Amino acid sequence: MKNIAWRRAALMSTCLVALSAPSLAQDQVNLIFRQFDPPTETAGLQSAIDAWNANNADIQVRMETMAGGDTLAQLAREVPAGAGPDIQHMAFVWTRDLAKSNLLLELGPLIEADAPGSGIDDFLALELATLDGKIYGMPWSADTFAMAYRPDLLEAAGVTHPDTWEELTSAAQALSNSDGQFGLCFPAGSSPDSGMWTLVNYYLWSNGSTLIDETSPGVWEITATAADIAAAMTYFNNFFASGTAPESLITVNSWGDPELIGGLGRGDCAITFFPPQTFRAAQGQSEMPLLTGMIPAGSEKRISHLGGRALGINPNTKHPKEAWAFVRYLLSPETFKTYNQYPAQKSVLDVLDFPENEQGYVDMLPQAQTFERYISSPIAVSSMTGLINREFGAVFSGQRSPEEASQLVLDELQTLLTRGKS
Amino acid sequence: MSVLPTSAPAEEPAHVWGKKLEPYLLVLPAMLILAFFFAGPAIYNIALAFQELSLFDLGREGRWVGFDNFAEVLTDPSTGQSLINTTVWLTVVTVVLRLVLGLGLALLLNATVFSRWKLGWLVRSLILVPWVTPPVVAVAAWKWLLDARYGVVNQFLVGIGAIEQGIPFLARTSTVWGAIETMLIWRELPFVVITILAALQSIPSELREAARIDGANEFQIQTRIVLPLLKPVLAVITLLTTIWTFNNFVYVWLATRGGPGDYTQVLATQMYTTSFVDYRMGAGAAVGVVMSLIMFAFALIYFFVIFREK
Repeated sequence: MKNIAWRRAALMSTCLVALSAPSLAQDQVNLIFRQFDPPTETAGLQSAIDAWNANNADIQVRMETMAGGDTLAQLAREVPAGAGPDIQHMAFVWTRDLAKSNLLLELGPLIEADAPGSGIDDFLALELATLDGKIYGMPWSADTFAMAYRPDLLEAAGVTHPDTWEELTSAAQALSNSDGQFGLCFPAGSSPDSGMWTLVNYYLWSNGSTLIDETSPGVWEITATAADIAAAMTYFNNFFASGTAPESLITVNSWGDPELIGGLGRGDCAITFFPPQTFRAAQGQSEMPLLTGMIPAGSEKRISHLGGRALGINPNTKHPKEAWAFVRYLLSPETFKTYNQYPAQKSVLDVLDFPENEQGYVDMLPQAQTFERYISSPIAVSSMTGLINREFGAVFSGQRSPEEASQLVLDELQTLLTRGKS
Repeated sequence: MSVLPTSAPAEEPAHVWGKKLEPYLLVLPAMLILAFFFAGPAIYNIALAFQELSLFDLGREGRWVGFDNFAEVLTDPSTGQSLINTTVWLTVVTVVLRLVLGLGLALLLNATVFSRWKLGWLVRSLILVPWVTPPVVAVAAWKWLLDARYGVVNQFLVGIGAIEQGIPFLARTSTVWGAIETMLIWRELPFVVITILAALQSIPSELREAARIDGANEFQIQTRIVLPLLKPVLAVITLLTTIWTFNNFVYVWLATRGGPGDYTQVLATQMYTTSFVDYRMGAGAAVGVVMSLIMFAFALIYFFVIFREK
């Protein structure tokens, strides 16, 4: 008799569990967060997401990783088809392009209902996430570039941190030797996503030039001259011509390439330029200490770009409120305890303790400017990037002279501008 | 005299109709799958080629621009260079080399010595290693092998004193095409070897024996008996590898992204760049249509050769 009662109780509890399980599952919201940092740099982010999942049983988040170069096109295909991740990690420069085509949820109402951090004005580069006065992305992490170098190699060569572009040339000369040590390393590849684009703009901007500018409201013109672009081409090509940069870099596109990260650690390269997370990866592979310093100054000023990542919500998501709750968490100082990036919020950034060897970033951040001048123009930034990298590569490989290549750049920019306006 | 039932003529047409429809019904699923996965996207691509449409507006209809995209693509000087690169450096050179090397290797592998020593299975397995390697892995491995400072190829060449310092094969215009072609041929050669080997093994040994009895030497047997019998297979291999290589995107993109500069830009990478860097889906689709038309010409030759043989 007792046995039958026990069996009935067991049966009833099994039925209760079976009946309640679907409703529990229905109550739980599952979100997908897609990001494109390389897997080697996502451990801290995964820890932050694990902490969220542990504390939010009703909103579970799964992280997807996709190569940065494929992410934008993938989003452009998925979202119009009603698919895509709930929350998307984006480069600052993508936000407006996606927003223009309604591929991002407008965040205004969510911000109004539950503002993130210390308020919306606390965020850096918010203008890049804004279209027609509406916000479509939340600036999440910010970074800039600094010069990264091996102080021991500079000391051995009797060279101090080069302060100008001219000094960089002399330093690279002094630091190069026949034992396979090169003074300067940089990604000189011709790919549309090559890092060459960054250096070219630092050089042009610091010398008072820019590829395209809004000369008066709504009027965009190509402001760089053929001489400006040819000078930049000649300047960087001289590193290869003089043997102070290895010719093999003409095929390297990424700042995170092992030739650069490992090269600094091995002492093949004495000086390069890195964003913060790449510098940390290089330091991790180097037995010798590395330092950062300011980007060289040009004739007009010293400048770098303020880059970074933003977070957007898919307009197709069935759970915008829950997605916003997770975005707010990612923006919080708690996430940045494990996520190895600089936050794009002034208040959080101000109280951040920068390691001593990252002083170069502290010095460059106030002088960093966003790519706003290009993003607002009628030309797609990716087209400009592809054009510049291709023509600089053509000069480095001897296909064209700087004069020929610079004229080609101007002609093609003009075509792109005309097409963009129409 | 017997009288046929009046209902018989009415039943027969239905039966005949059923018989007539049966083959169509049997191929219908395959046709539907083909229409959905092949014809649909192909028609969409053709329609796209007549529109101005941004990558970000894929869900909508673009602005119809007639033949503007084709005019732009065909008058762009870079298209001419891409076409030469695609046709000559990527396709003709590698197809010819694959045929020559493939034929040589197949003849070698068909030698009786391998079967006598029971090594046939081993060499056939080894020859397939590149073919089973994913192209992405193959290109990545070759890039490391060809690295100027740490690559095995350069270290070997420096070691034997052939060169003083490593050559950045993918960075120089004088060597970059050779490097890409090496990667492609290494990965794709096994298909040619295995196909020719299969054809060689289907040639009856009696033909060779008869030729020997008639006094033919080994060279004459190969040129007068074997090669003519291989002709249909070689024709099919040539056309198939030509079509596959002409359309290929992977080797150039992974090895050089079309660089240095635009030195190795081919039609497939130009199509990708136009669509996904310049975000101009219509112009990118036009490049694709031009490529398809050229491939269609190849396909016509292919079918001509096949049906002529039959």
